[in-house]
Amino acid sequence: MNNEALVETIGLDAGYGGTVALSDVNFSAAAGQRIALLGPNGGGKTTLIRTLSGELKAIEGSVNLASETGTVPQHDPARDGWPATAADVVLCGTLDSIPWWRRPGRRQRKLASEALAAVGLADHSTTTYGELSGGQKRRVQVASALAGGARILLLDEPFAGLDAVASRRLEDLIERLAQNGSTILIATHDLEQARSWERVLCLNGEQIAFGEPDSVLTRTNLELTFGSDLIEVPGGGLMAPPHHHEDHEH
Amino acid sequence: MIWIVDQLAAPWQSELAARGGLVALLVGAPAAAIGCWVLLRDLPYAAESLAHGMFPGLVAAALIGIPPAIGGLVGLIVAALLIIGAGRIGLAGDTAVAVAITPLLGLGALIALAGTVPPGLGGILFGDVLAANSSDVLLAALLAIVTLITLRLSHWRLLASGLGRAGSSDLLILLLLALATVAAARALGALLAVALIIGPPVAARTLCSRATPMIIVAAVIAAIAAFTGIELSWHAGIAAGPAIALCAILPAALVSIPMPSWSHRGAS
Ligand SMILES: Nc1ncnc2c1ncn2[C@@H]1O[C@H](COP(=O)(O)OP(=O)(O)O)[C@@H](O)[C@H]1O
Ligand SMILES: [Mg+2]
Repeated sequence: MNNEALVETIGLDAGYGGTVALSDVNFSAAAGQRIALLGPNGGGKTTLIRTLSGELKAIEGSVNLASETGTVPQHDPARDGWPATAADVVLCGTLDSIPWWRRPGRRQRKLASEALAAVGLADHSTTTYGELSGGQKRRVQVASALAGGARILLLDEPFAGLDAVASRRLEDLIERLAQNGSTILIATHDLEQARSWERVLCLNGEQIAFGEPDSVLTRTNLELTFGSDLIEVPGGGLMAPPHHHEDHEH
Repeated sequence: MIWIVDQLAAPWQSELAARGGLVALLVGAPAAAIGCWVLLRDLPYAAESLAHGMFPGLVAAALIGIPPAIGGLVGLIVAALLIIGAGRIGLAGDTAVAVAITPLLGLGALIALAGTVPPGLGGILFGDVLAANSSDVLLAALLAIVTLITLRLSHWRLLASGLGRAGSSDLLILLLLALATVAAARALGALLAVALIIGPPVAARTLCSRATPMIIVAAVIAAIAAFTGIELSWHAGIAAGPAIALCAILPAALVSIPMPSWSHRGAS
């Protein structure tokens, strides 16, 4: 693996039960980089994230990681009304780092409260998770990943359903975490966002393009990525198709 | 005032009632604690079914003359195997449970009614906590310690399981539930055991928004139910098992009636 890369795939085929859903992914990302994952619904963004996190096994090729990964999944995995506070959720992020018979101790609690502070939610530590807003929940999930020691963060459509203010806060947080040396992969449908980040990875069942935004976000690549779903904006711009309607949260 | 104290103290001067109350406490508090996770993981139907599934085992134990706990345990294992078997032939979830458990309940009744020596059907169905002897106390204390230590050690994994941050812990919950059910069967019988397991957690769920307070409140409600159940049984002259079951369910009914909107379920 090249020296500064925190995450790298070589000839990666990923999918389900031996059926390839996403083929031949080759990219690498260094500390401090934000990588936009662009692709249509069903393009393979979630499949790539689940393979990088180790939840799915690579069918072909390899995944090389220089740190723990932390995932914020596309759909909130918390059960409705589960009796946990924001601080509890973050503390649960440390469980993978201790043996199963040990309870989280002072060290874990310190990591958790630092992580909650890092996402700007120190004031909400005793708030029941279910009572947080959608944006706050995403940030708690990020804190949970940070508390587990992850420097590779995998965010699956974290902006889906967020209003402008909450989106802005999350964008700022992602920028700060990158500046502090994390590598962050973010599935998104927002081309403007992708343009402002360090790398873009276009997926449509296979890897279409990877590199710096200026060289990747060409009309040809976007047409290959989104096909006929690509939306022409009056005045000359292009827009990616919106989320699935099921992604909306309130 | 003194009259009231005398009245309250009266049952506890009887060795039978006092020992029965102790067993109910030792069985009830851990049963309520594990019941909290049963409720949170949406497993109350499995709880009810496990309790009913051990019925034929309890009847057979009474007929053969072996300790009911052993009969109940064998009954539970058979019930679990039947549920797994019903699942294998393609029946889903609750359907598999229903298909496996209903015949077991019937089988238990058949054995009980066909026996030449009546095994005391009332005691098996509704418990006979006043007949508890010192080995029942010992067994209940042992199960209580095992359950509470296991719950304490696995607390954070259980909590994480509902947040998608750990694998499912349902197997552990069902295992502890089986222990609690066997232990509670002595005090409350196959039909009423589930009252101690589910009643206090339902009330505690409404009162607490965090897991640890919920578990403590549920255990305290169960302890209070053991105490008031014995009192009720003594003064009203009704059977102790049903009296304890009633007291274990009553708080759930009380907190549900006045303001259903207190409930944290479904709040998001
Ligand atoms: N659990 C699954 N089992 C089988 N196929 C799946 C599963 N999840 C997704 N797929 C398939 O994998 C492909 C990629 O899906 P996904 O990674 O979820 O896309 P995206 O996240 O970009 O919308 C799709 O064709 C989808 O149908
Ligand atoms: Mg997806």
